[in-house]
Amino acid sequence: MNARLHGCLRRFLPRRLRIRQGEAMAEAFDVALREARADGLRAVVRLWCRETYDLGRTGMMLRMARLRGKASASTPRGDRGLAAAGPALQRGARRRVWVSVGADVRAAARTLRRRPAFTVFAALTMALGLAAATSIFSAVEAVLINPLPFANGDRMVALFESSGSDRLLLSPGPESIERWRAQRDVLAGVEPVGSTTKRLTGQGAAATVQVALIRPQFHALTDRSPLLGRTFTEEEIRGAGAHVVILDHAFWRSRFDGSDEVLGSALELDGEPWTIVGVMPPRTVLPTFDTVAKQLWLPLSEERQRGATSVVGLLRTGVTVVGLTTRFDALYGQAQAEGASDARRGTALAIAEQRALFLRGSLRLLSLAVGMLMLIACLNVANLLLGSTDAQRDDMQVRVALGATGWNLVRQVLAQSLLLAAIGGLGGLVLTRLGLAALGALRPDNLRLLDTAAISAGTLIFALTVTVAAGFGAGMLPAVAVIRGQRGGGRSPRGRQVGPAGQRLRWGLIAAEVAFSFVLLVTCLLVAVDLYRLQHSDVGFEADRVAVVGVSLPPWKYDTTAARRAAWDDLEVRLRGLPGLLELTASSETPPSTGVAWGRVGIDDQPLSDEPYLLVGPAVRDDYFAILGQRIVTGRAFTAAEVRDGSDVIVLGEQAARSLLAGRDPLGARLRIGEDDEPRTVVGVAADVAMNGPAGVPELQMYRPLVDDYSPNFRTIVLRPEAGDDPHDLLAPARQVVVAEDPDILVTEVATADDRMIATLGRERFLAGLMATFAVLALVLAAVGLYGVIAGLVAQRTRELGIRMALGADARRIRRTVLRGGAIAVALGIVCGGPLVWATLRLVASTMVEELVGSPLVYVSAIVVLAVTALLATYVPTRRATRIDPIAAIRDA
Amino acid sequence: MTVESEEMVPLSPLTMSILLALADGESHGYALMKDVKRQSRGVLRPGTGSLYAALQRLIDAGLIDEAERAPAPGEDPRRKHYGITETGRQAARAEAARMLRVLEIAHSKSLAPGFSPGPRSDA
Repeated sequence: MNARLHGCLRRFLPRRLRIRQGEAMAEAFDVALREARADGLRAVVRLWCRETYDLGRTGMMLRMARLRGKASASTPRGDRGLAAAGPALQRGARRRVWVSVGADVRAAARTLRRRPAFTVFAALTMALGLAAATSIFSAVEAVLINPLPFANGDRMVALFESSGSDRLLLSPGPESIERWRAQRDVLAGVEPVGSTTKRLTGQGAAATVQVALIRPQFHALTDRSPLLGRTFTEEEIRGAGAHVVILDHAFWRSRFDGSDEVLGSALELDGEPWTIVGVMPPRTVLPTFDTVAKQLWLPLSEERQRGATSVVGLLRTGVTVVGLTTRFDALYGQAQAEGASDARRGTALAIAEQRALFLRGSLRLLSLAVGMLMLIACLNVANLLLGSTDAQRDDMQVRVALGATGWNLVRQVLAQSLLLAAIGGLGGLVLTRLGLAALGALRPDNLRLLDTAAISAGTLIFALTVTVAAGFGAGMLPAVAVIRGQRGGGRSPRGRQVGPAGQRLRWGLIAAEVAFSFVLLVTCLLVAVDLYRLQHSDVGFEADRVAVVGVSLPPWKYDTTAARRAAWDDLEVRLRGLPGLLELTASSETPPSTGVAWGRVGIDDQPLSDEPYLLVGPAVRDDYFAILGQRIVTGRAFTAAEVRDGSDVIVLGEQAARSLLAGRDPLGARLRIGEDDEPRTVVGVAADVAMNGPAGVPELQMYRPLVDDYSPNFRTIVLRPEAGDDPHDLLAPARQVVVAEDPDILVTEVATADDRMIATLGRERFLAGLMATFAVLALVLAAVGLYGVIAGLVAQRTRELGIRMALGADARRIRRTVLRGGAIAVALGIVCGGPLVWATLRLVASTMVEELVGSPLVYVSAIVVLAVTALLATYVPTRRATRIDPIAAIRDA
Repeated sequence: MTVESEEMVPLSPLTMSILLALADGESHGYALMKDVKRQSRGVLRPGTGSLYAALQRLIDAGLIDEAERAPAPGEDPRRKHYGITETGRQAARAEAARMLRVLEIAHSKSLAPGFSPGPRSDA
């Protein structure tokens, strides 16, 4: 990260120097950064500021020297003659440098104050760009750079075991954990953790809480102690574990208003009282692949430890995942050599990397997008400054006459742009706070990792660096233009006219803005069209026609089959009474969440397959397919008798039938999964559904009859309203019915199947929302830039236009004169944008859908949007041009 | 490109500092940054930009050169070492002599209170 940032800053320097010394510079800065880190954050910030200034200044000086044609190698420029004649004198000189910098800044401030509209506009442009960049940076920092908010997060690995040939990763047993703990030279700690859900009862309707399970040693591993109270004791994890609980920070704030009096009070979980003993510090997460935020931390009891847990390993400093894997392989080889037939091989995966995997592509695209937005903002400010320096030309010529050098004038321009960037930077930070709030609001449920995004020290360093870079970047071109202007001398006697070169430069900037906007528009459209396509894709059943209610019975109340059957029957009778309901059915789950079966598959009397298969799908009742509107392709659905008796019959999905029973008639085939499974007869084949949501990978599907003991305490009830009614209308009444039955019954979900499907598209919607925001911002900035240039042009050429009109030019001809440059610039921008789009799409190919990328409609729409925006931006100044009063224009000019 | 040493003076303080730092033997970028800062008592604090621009300029002028040697064990392979050339020594000598002349003149006008001219007054 640091290396990349420094690499970007080095771009200020001429290419030749970068090639010859770039690597060595990076190395020297690395060492400097390491030393600064030891001195604390302030030293790091100071180093970055100084380095940014130094690289920017050196780059500027070297380029100016070359422009002047004085790039003489043997006469190093600088404060020549300021020899080491005593520290006091030097301190004085240094102070003088600062005095003159101060004078530059004051002069810039005066200029900006005189032109408030220009200043506000330019600063706002900067602020918008910076806010977008900084918000996305903090998301990138939270998700990609620092996905585990622990000091040693990058050394945390998830440990699994696998038996010999299987690729399947299993939760490690106690023997493996013991063996790994002994590897003290590579692993600093091995810690089992777990997670589960509990229901919060005793306060009205029951609610699910997400629970992390830990041992007291967790705090040593993560170097985080409770904020309030204490952690668990060794006694409290003995046996089945004590009823003590530590609150998560966010839960404590929202539920208990952050009061310290919670310690010692009780919380009812699953109908039993638990004592609150502590509160976790903020941003403490369970270091596993699971990014769901936890509300409670409970003891990982010895009993639970015998079951499936996740195991976190902490690598010793300097040990890599590869190094650990080598050690595990050696251990496995050793165990095999000793004749242990049930030896398990250890596997380690970096946790931080796995947590970020899901968002990496999206964030790369977003980073690229904000980078372009930032560039557009800089180009815009550069353009505004160009206009402003043109206007200040008289003033500059006076200063030159009084002895100011080119460098003085450049400094004046740079001071203006840096000051604008600084004002913009401050405004940007305020906007970033809003931006992060917006990110939080846009954040879909499955991207909880983004909640950790905040304005951190890293964000501040980034914002500062970008601000300074933007200040230099935006000031560079106008500064070069000033030098060019100096060399050419006062070209026009009145100092008002901009030379054709200057005008070309401004049109060039507009073309660049249009090019970047084009890229943003195209990528935004691709993302949006993809989202639309997914939201409206066929999911295999009539998702928009049914509502789903997830119901979980409290196991401590309904502990016999008879009690549960009575509860389910009672609930169904009540639900059938809902007004507007046509039919209902029950299943273990409904898409997009399903049960899975994993194992090697045997057909009829053939031996089991070599490779294991994953089969997904719920256990369902006989009327499930009809009520969900899922087509039976061949054969039939289950009969009521088969469901009642729990017969060994299954319905396969189309793809499952094709891959498992290649070529033969699926009906009547007998299937078993794993060694001990009873063979089940295939009675039908159903159309495939999107079991993981519309964007999910298609999977092999299998349905079983819903029997009482399949998932005794949990069911989903599928409600289908009368034809033409909205299933949304059933949601609130259905919830009321369930809660009225017994407040301890947990309603895990009430939603239409369609909404559940769309909720799985969280990442796509998030990406589309942000890309749309950036594309609109880019369009607005480009439009503003175009408006500014044309308005300036009309103002400068008022006299010329007046004369033309006096000589008989009509409105159409005037319009053409004014718009010609703009039209060429926009067209040029779109043409140059083409290769940029191509390059961008190559970079973010993984996030894009291939068949959309080639669709010409997307590009044509982007061009149309750009053209319309350009027309709108030019409308007002062009109209002003056609309404010039020729006589007044000629007289006033 | 080699230039006569007399033509090069006055050298910029940074240039002179680098040459002085290298007079003791080869050194690398970060060590030079620290050396320059120490010599100038904190007045000169070059960042990597100005330091390496100066180094490249000195290489081009033939005052210093890049030492060719394999990285020491455990050393970053990107690190470069620089050494002073004979021309570089001459340039530094010429600059020192120039400074000495300046100091002597200043002394004669009571502008250099702490300075006492040594026995060898001219280089």
